[in-house]
Formats: sequence, structure tokens, C-alpha cells
Amino acid sequence: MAEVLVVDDSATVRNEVSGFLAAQGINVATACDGQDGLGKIQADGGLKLVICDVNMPIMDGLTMCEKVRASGNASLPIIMLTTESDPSMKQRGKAAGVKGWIIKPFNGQAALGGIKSLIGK
Amino acid sequence: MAFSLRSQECFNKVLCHSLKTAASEIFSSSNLEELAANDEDLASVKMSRIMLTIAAVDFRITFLLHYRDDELIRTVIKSAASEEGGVNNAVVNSEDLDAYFLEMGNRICGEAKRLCYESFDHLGMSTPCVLSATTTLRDMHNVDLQCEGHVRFEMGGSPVMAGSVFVYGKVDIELDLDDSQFTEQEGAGELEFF
Repeated sequence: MAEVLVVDDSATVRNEVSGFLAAQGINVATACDGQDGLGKIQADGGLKLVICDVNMPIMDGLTMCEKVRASGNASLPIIMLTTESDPSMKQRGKAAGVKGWIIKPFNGQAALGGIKSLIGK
Repeated sequence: MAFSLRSQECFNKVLCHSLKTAASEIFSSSNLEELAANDEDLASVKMSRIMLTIAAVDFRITFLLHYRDDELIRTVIKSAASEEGGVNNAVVNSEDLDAYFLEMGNRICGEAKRLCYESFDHLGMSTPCVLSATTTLRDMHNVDLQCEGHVRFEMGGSPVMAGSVFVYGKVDIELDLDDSQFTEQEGAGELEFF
């Protein structure tokens, strides 16, 4: 069963992040946009963390987060992995129920401590 | 109407800085030589191209990321990935290469947008797209083009990748950034908790 869901429209990022986490012994699933991610979150109640891009086709990451919260799931931590760094975008993330923010590029070692604390490892 | 030399210089610096930041893994593991370039230099080499746009109310900035599709660039990427301890970033075919540079394009756009926010409000960035082989640099020269700049990176005399910036608009805009603003973004890659 997956512990972490990585949602990004870039296959390069999905591979990079999921490959790094898998090498740390973390079970990972992936989704290619917000709608795909939302479906996988709703289908898998065992997820402990979602790492999600902001700008994606079909459904963006902040909308996905809002829909997760609107469905009554207030506890699943969602962190954004994005090139967006401006404070107004982060503020939108906070309002949408986002737990944390990582500015790309993904630096696994820099983020690992936080990720492990969120999934209880 | 013409952009000031200062603005043109700043847009060129935004291009170079954003490209080097987005491709830092490549630049730290390869001896790439930075060279000035013009339309003719870039048109003379067969390279794939990705287009990215930052849009404002009065103007738009379009970046092109040019890259070879051959074994040289695959070797450069593979070397960068292994030096970084990267995983699963095998770039085997043209599709993989496009995906790799599309993500790099995203990071270029993100960094350029961050810099431009120092001078402008309300900026939006596009999803990068791969241009067809029939699209030429000449196609970028429409009547709204106000300024352009190019840079290329070579290894052993062979061009590996390049970047272009085109600024379009009907009004003069001023971009004024000092050197202190072209620094590595603090906290990039780290998890910031809310």
C-alpha cells in the first residue's frame, strides 16, 4: 500500500521524486494531474502524504487540495513541490489547506527529514 | 519606442541566470562554455526547442530553450544525474529528452518569474511546450517584438544547449535588477512548513 502519492504532470519529476523516496524504503504511488491525484486519494485511504505540483493541466494542485479538504479529509498532509515562489501563491496554498511548500528543483536530502516526520518514519 | 539598454541588459541577465539555475546539475558537472549568440548562430544548428511564456497585462516574455537531441546531451545529463546521486532519470529517447527539458523549462520560467516580480505585478506563466521542427527563430519576430537576447553553451566547440528571450509589447517597460537580486534563492529545495 502506498504511503506517499506524488502528483506532477512531469514524468521527469514523478520519476525523480518517487525514485528517491523508494530508495529510502518509502512506498510511493504517482498521479499525472490533480484530477488523477484526487481519484487516487479518494481510492486509497492509507495514504500518509501527498506531494503535489501547483501548475498542471486538467486540475491544478491547489484546486485538488481544496477538493480534498471539501470532501471532509482534513488530516491528510499535502505539500506542494513547485517552481512558484511568490508569497501570494503560498498564501493561496495556506488557504487551500496545504501543509508545506518546496520550491523546485527537488532536493531529496533537504526535504527528507520533513517528509519522514509527516509520514511517521 | 524602444526598451532602454538597461532593460535589455536585465532581460539578458534574467535569461542567463534562470537557465543556469534551472540547469545547475548540468553546469556543475560539465565544462560548458558560455558564449554570446545571435539568431544566425542558433539557426545554423539543428536543435529541439521548448517555448515558455511569462505574461503580464501589458507585455509578455517568451523564452526558448534549445537543446541537441543526440548522444552528447544524453551523456551530459547522465553524468549530471550520477553526480547528483539522481535516480530514474534515464534519458533514452527523444521523448525522455523532451520531458527532461520541459521540466527544466518549468524551472527557468519559475526563476525568471521570481526575478521579474521585483519589477512587475500580476505575472502568469505558461506550461512549456515543445515547438515543431518547422518553427524557426524568424517566426518569433512579429511586430510586437521589443527586444531579444540569446546565449549558447558549448562543450569542446560543439553547441549543447542555448537560450533565447523575446519581449513583446506595445508599451515601454523597465526592468531594473541589480546584481544582488541574481543570487540563488534561499531555501530552494527545502520543505517550508506552514
